[in-house]
Amino acid sequence: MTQRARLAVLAACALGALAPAPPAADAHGLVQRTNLPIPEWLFGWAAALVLVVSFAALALLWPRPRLQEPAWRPLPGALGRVLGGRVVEALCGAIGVALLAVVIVAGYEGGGSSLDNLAPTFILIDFWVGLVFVSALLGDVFRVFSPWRAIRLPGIRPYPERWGRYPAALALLGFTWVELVSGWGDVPGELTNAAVAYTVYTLAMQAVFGTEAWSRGGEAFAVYFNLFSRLSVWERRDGVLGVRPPLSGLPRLDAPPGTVLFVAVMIGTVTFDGFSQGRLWKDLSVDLAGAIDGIVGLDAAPKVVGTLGLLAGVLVVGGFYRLGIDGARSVGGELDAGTLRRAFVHALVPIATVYVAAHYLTFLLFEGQATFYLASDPLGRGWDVFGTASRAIDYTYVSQNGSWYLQVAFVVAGHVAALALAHDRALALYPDARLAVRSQYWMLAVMVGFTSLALWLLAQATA
Amino acid sequence: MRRSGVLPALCALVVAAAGCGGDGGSKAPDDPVARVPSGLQEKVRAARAPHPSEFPAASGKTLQALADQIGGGPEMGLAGSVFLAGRENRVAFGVIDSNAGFVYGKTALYVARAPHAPARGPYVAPADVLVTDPPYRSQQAATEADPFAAVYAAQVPFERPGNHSLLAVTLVGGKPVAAASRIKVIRPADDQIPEVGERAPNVQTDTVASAGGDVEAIDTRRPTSDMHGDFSKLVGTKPVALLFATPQLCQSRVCGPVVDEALQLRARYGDRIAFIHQEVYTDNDPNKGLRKPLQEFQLRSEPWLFVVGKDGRITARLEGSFGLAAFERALKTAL
Repeated sequence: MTQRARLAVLAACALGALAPAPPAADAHGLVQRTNLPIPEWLFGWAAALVLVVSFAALALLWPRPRLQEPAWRPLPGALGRVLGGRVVEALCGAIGVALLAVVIVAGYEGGGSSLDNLAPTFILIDFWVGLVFVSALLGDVFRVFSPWRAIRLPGIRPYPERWGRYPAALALLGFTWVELVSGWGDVPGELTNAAVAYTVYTLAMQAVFGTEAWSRGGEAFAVYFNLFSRLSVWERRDGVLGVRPPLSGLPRLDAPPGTVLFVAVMIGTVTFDGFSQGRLWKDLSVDLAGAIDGIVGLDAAPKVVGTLGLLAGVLVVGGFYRLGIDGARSVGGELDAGTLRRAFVHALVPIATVYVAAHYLTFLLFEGQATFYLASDPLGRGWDVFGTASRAIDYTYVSQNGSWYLQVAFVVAGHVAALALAHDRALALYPDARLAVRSQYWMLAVMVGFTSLALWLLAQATA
Repeated sequence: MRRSGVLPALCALVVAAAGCGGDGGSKAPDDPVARVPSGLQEKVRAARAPHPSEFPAASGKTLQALADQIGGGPEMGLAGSVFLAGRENRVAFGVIDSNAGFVYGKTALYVARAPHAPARGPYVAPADVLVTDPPYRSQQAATEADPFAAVYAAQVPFERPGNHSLLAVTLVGGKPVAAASRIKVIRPADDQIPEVGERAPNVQTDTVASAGGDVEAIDTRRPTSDMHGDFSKLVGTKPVALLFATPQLCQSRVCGPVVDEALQLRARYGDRIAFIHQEVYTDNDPNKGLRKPLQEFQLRSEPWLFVVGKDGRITARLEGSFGLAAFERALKTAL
């Protein structure tokens, strides 16, 4: 297929996503937004307009790259050395190990359901979702709290460079499969088995390749939270904590093999999660499962369909990105597709962040409150260790409309940030500023597509 | 390498803490009333222990005379519809004031064939707490603006079929107030619903697999529960608590958070009894009629609980709203 023909196919796919969001699906959920001042589809168009205006503003007001060589200043006095020092790191690592131990014990010894066992809530809400927000705000917190990195092993052979971030991408895909498709993702015993298996696997890989090398390319959560932390102004260098301009951690992201796949998994799996909560996927998946249950069995059919959906989510996101890259390449500049893919992948990280933030915001705000009573009674044995065992979830402190506005704000802000990052990189990459701006027309289309997709998914999930 | 011994040491500490935490740590209260909003706790606690001597004696008076003597005010909301002649029946109800609020107090029930027929009673109706522990509280229960914290239930014998009049008397601030209602008692032969002692219909209940993976299609609770085993595969292998209920589409205020209660009791009895929640309406649409398992059980109302012993015979059945105490008593019949 020629590049022109490939672009046409990809553009057709993108146009489908860029179409105005349809009316809300059949109302069947418990909580629905009411009395929005303007319809949801208008939010989509308004968000797209914000991106177009932002793009124009960037072209006019941002003529030189500003984020490629960011400044970094240590915190004043001894504060930066203390907070970034080895004592704090060792203490945090010990806390991380202790928390992992508590979760494993709770998973095996506690109640048999996610309702009265700390393990699922801690892993799926506090760790998986909560730490994304913490990382984006406070920097690479997981690096010091990681229970696996706390166990420092030198390794016996060098990490194969060609592996890049592929092991981390596959592990991340595996985790999301457990969470979204397996059917046992919130069963304490099964989830803890997975956590123990991952711990054993990670420690074994660290023993072979060394803790630091494996954390950079193989340990899925280290890579995952590190990417989010690059949005933060906080950065630790050589044992000293300092500050940097917002977003400036992302242009310094290296892009070994597997990085694009990793980011596509980040966004694609959240996309699938949102899509799978809508009526369209539910009807489709029931039909597909019905079509194959005679072949794979009644129990396996939904999982097979879910697995295909999960992979399709990753492929769609990868296809979007490829569309933007192929389009950018078509404007000239003598840059090959691989170079462009690696050069702009960091711009997708804000999108991944806001996909998580918007999609899981209410999950964190509401179901995350379960942590209070589960922390007091992690094994479901009637304890009240912290005096919070009777604190119930308050579903009223954030309104549905309020959370919708927050979600829309996240989505728009994240995509504007992505545009800025891509614009800044294009200025550094192309010798001619006009060529740089032209290359970003396609990236703008991709961003508008991602924005529309994000808002449509949110509307689906809460319809 | 020096730190490699940290993990097992901490695990050992945590395991040790888990083993002895129950002795030295604080314990959450095991009092069901402690879960009730603090402003109601005193009233609900009192309402759980009524005594016949606290209520007027019927002593040959008609139900109407009793009602006139006591004075009315609130309304009675029945939480059941099937009552059988020739046996003792559980009559569950709420007493509701003019502001649609629940009236909490010591309560008893009087019955008569008609308002001007001699009354029988009082049959005490202890309050049964509906509020579950926080981990088992659904979004529906947690966001209910004015939830009922308890439901009253009296054990009342009905000798003959036909219409009966009821008078619920609640002591509010030491003064009785009365609320009336009517029921129809039927002959056991006219009751098509499987009865205690009978073999339970071997119905296939909805499972996540049968719903093509769409758990929300078979569960209106939010968040959805995982109590969706197939009754036909479980019955005969172990006792089963089969609960027909629809948390989101419940038609009255007195159907209660029975699925939440099932989840809480499963934590205690789940190793000995299988818990199954079966949704009520086809496609979760009341206009589309009842799902097949309810039709096979001949049900016309919800919620219903059937506790089925390991031998496949029904050991207890409960209709309408029931609290944790009644639910637990029903479960124990199969153990």
